[in-house]
Amino acid sequence: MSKWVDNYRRAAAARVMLITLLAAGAAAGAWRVIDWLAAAPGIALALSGASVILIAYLASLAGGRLLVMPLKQIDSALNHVQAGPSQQPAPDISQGAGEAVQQIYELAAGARKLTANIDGQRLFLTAAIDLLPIGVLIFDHEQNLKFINQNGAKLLNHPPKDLQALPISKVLDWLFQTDEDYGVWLERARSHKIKDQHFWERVSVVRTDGERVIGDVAASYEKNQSDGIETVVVFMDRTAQYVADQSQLDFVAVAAHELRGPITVIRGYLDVFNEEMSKVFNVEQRALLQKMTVSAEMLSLYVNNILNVARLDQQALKLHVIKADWRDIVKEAYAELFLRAQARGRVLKLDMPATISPVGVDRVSVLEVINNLVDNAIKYSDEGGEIIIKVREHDGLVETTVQDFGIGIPQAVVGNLFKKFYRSHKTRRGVSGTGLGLYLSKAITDAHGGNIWVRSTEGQGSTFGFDLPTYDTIADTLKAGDGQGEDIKRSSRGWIKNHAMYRR
Amino acid sequence: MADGKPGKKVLIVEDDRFISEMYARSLKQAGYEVDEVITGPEGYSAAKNQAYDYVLLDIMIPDKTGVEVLEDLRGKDGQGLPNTRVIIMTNFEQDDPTRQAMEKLADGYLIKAEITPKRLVNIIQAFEEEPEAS
Repeated sequence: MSKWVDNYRRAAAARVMLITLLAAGAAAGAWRVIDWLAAAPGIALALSGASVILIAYLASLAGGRLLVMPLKQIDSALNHVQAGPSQQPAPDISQGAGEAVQQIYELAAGARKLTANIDGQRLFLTAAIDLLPIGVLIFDHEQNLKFINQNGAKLLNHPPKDLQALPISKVLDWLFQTDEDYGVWLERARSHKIKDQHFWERVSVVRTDGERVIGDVAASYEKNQSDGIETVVVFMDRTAQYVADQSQLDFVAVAAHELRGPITVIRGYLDVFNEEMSKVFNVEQRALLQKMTVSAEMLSLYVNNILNVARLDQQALKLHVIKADWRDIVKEAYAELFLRAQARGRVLKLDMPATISPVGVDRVSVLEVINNLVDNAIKYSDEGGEIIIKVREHDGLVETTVQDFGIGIPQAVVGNLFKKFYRSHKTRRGVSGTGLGLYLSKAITDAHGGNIWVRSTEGQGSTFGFDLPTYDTIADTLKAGDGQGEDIKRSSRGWIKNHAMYRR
Repeated sequence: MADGKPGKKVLIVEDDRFISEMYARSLKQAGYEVDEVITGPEGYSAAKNQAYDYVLLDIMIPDKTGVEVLEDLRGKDGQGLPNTRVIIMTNFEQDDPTRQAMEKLADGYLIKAEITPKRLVNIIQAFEEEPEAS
């Protein structure tokens, strides 16, 4: 208990005792008079009764005032502090609960300073958020808009008044590149997570003024926050950049289309020559024709690589992942690659188990990977050399390797192989091609949730390998019912619906 | 090389003369009757006025794109020309919305740079081996 309470208690007790003693003394003195009045006992009784009551009343008044004084001081201090210095007089703190009252004043002064600080901070932060060159939107548990900064307000498809009650769908007119848009992500976060974050690129938004902008969106989610915030969404306008990117991609697409015209004719008539002129050519001429055929094939492969890498760079490379028979895919690749390897003086072999679990793949893309790895092996192996394609399944992964017994790759180079444009210094005479094939292959395997790697010993050869997850391990991440195109078997040449040729 | 059934008619809608000639030559050798036109509107009216068994349709053609021609030929319900197989033959890779439209309306989609004349003949002949319902 505080010291002042003890002191006050003693002082108050002393005063009450003094008053009672005085009263008792007065009462005793009064008895003399009452003796004198003994002859009249009724009057004596009445007088003594009245005097006792009077003394008790006076004592209680004095005692009550003494007891209540500190409470009055504190009450007066509280009122004074709340109402402000001008409104009420300050209590006298020289006695009683003066110390307690002083503490009240100190607390009040501290609280005022704190509030001023918080207000000041809030103003400062709001001003700062308004200056940010990005849109900031904050939504509550019902996805109603709680806060929006100036840049955010420009993004809305609704004029800024009365926003607070509007649900998000009425507030933002935006288009996502992926199927997992804001709504899908939020639903997943609400059912599975306490905290989550997501980032989207190339989100297109129609602004209040009707103009369309493209940018990146970042959103964070937190469950059951007492401050009422469920998600915070940030939009970064990158229209200038992305529009420039798109025209770059368009340029490549148009260029690829143009190049493919003459490629079509060259490959087509070379094939016709193969069919119709073989009897007329001698052995050497037939071999030359073969070389032209292979070169035309490579030309086509490189144009495809260029187009795919351009798409990859703009994140426009889309995979259509469906359940597939890996044996089927590898056999198809092997049939074509065997001839190509043979034309370049290599022997291609296949080592594959009788059964393999289904995989989830984009058929066209994984065929490109196999193509690129075998192409690589052909380049770096010897005339007459063997190239072995091997398939194995283990631990929920289907692993495919391409092994050659050629010149091998120096350790220093191995780490750089999957980078764009990389070509080793130690290139053989007659080896051509840009460094796009392996870069593309890595991007494709990564996108499938797999890995790609290389092991090599100089002078002995190299093994390139990649693994893909089995369909079962990824089935639940693939959208249900996305069986679109299952009757459409795709290859790098295109597709034919339900075609008899694929049923043989 | 197996011959196609006599009387099967093919329409090639293609503005690159070298390419249309190349495919036409091999198809004729295989026993097909082949007509060649260059523009979108010509392709549309030819296909409407004669019963072709196959239409090989390029996309980047003058005056009307192959996709528009396809949509017009198949009509609003997508059931137009039920006995004609339409195969898109292009060197231009499509964006998703166009590709989805084509998957509904076309019977095939081929990248010309990957399709030799012999391969095209094989593909068309394989259609002959199917039952008519598609």
